Amino acid sequence: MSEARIVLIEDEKSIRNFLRATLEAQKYKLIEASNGREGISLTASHVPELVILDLGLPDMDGIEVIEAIRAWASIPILILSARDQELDKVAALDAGADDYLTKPFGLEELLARIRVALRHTSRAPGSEDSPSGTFTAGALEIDFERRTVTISGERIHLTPTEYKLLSILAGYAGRVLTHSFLLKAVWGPGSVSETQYLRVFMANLRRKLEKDPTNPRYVLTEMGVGYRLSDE
Amino acid sequence: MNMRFRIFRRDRHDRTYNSLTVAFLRRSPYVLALRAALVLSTATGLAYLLDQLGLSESNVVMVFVLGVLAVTVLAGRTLGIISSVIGVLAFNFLFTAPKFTLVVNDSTYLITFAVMLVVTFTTSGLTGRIQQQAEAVAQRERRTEALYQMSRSLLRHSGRTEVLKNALQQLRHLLSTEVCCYQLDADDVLAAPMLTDSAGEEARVFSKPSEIQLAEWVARNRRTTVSKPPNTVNTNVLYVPLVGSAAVHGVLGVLFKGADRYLAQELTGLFETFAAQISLAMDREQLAEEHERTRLDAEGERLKSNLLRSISHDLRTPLSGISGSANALMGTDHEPGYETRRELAHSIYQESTWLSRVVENLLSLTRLEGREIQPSRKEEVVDDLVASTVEHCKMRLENRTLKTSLPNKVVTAPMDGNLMEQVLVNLVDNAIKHTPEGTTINLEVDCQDDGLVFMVTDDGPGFDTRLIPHLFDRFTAGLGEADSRRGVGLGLAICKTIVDAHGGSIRADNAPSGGARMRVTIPMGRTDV
Repeated sequence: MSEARIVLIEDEKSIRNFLRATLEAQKYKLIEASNGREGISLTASHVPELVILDLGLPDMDGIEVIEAIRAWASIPILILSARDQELDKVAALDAGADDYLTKPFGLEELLARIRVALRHTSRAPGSEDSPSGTFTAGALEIDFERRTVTISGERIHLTPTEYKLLSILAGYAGRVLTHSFLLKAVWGPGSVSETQYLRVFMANLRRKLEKDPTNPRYVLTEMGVGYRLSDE
Repeated sequence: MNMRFRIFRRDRHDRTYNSLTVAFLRRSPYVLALRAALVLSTATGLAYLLDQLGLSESNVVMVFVLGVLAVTVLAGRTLGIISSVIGVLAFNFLFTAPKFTLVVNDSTYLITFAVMLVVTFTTSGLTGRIQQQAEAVAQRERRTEALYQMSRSLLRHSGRTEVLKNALQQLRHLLSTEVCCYQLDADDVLAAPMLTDSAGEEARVFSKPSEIQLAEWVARNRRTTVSKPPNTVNTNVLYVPLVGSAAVHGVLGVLFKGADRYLAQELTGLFETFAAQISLAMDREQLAEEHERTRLDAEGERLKSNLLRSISHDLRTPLSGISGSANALMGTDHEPGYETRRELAHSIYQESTWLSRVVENLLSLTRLEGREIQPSRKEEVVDDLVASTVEHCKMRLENRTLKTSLPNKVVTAPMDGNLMEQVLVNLVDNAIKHTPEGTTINLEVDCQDDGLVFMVTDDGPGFDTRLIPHLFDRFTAGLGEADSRRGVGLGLAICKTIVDAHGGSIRADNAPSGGARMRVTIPMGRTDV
């Protein structure tokens, strides 16, 4: 997985510096761009395995960059955003970004997200939509054929909706799924605003899966954005 | 719209001040003429009866004089004078020989006629004038009363819109007609007409483009105008500018319909007086508003400078740590060893995470104070809130244990998730900051009768009891410890601001076991889903 090429679109020099130091130490090949236009053209010419994109760019809106890239490529896009950009974050994810990190972020977290994103590139596209076989993360195991969920071999009883939510999360394991994405996937396009409904289901699901629901191991909450199923 | 007009103000103390108007304009001339005719025919009939009874002609003459007097009283001076001529002619026609002609045989009758004419002329003239004077006095009294009432009610209300609304209501009550006001904003743009609550169909005339244009003209030129709106029947509108001391506040519009439409011109003076009163009240309100704004600005400035002073400390300490450590890492004379480098890097990392906490607190504060302290509340799942609080605090625990407990069922409560998370994070952070390592911190959530209760307790040394009353004061860190330890600074004050904004309460005390205990209660919409 090393030698993967990453395009970094970020206008802040100090952040570029420390990301370069970190990522090159991990044997990634980093291609840097300081604005959106440059970033799009570098992405087009290098066709990297991953794009890391800062939402606040000087020349154009981060969302536009995502749309420009998504117009021709499905390269994973990892968003960097400041804390006061929650709505932008959700908009970016809905526009096709794969994941996000809020500044300030820890290096461990960044590297973990990069690993998840790169894993997805190597996976065959389409495998996410109809999960087959089994999914394992820690003690959690989902058998899609038999529609069973076990934790450390112990069978967990889920309602059909809870199972559907979990299998969708598992299909995109490691990635954040927005509320509206999950709502659309489970209840159809008409229910996109019923976020609270979803949250109650997720809270119940978590109470069934987690030993300590307030310090979850598998079903992670991204406040104000959505949920993520841990894949490690 | 029916201004009711009476000839007689017998009811001078009538509490409905409907007739502020000139007495004889109230009824159409036809009605008055009919009255005069009725009175005259009655008088003639009576005279005829007396004549038939064989009473002398002087009685007949007296009946006519009485009739003319009655006409004057009931229908006014002009008709009285006309009646006196008719009376003389009728007397001549009906009662002097040869009867049923205007010819007189006895020339002494001419003297009778002349005297009769002079007497009726004079009496009707005098009566009419006295009556007009009485009417004028009564009218003045009514207007004074109306003005008095208006100014009293204007005093009772505050706020410009409120004052205007009330003035309109008052005018409508006084006049039983549609009134409106076009307010002028700071940029001298005329707002849509403000109507009374009970405004009827006819008030729609005020919204016609032609009328708005005219009102604009009135506001610009400060001139009272009467308009006759197109496509309306028998309607006139009087526009009076509300001229304040500094600027024009707006334009008052009064609708006159039917026979009253002639009054628009007539009553201009009265409405200008009303307008002056309203403008005065508006001036007063404007001054009060400006005063309040200045006060708020000053308050805001004071807060801002307090805030700056308190955060500059919170920011400077970690910043000097970071730059110092980084400087040492860069190395000058000698290369620091691996252990030292690690330590320096670690302290940079810690100081900067602290800095981001300060920044996040500041961000919450600006979110709250920038607007009308009104958080965006949505139903949030308590589990999520607690989970994300734990996620945020976990890194800083350092050998302390954070235990949580949730309500038995999944519950939701209306709140701003980000802000409430900030509250819980601040409370836990506070517990971390003020307890030694090895402490256990408890975060418990429970549904109680008074709402959703969050309780953060620790088994550390507890609060200094002298400190408890001041814990939530803005920007006051612990007594005298501000410089030795990092001040709580904004943390708890922000918690209080956020909890208050949710309509909840926050309390601090020491648990019976000795540790510090914080209790936050916020109201719940519905219990569970």
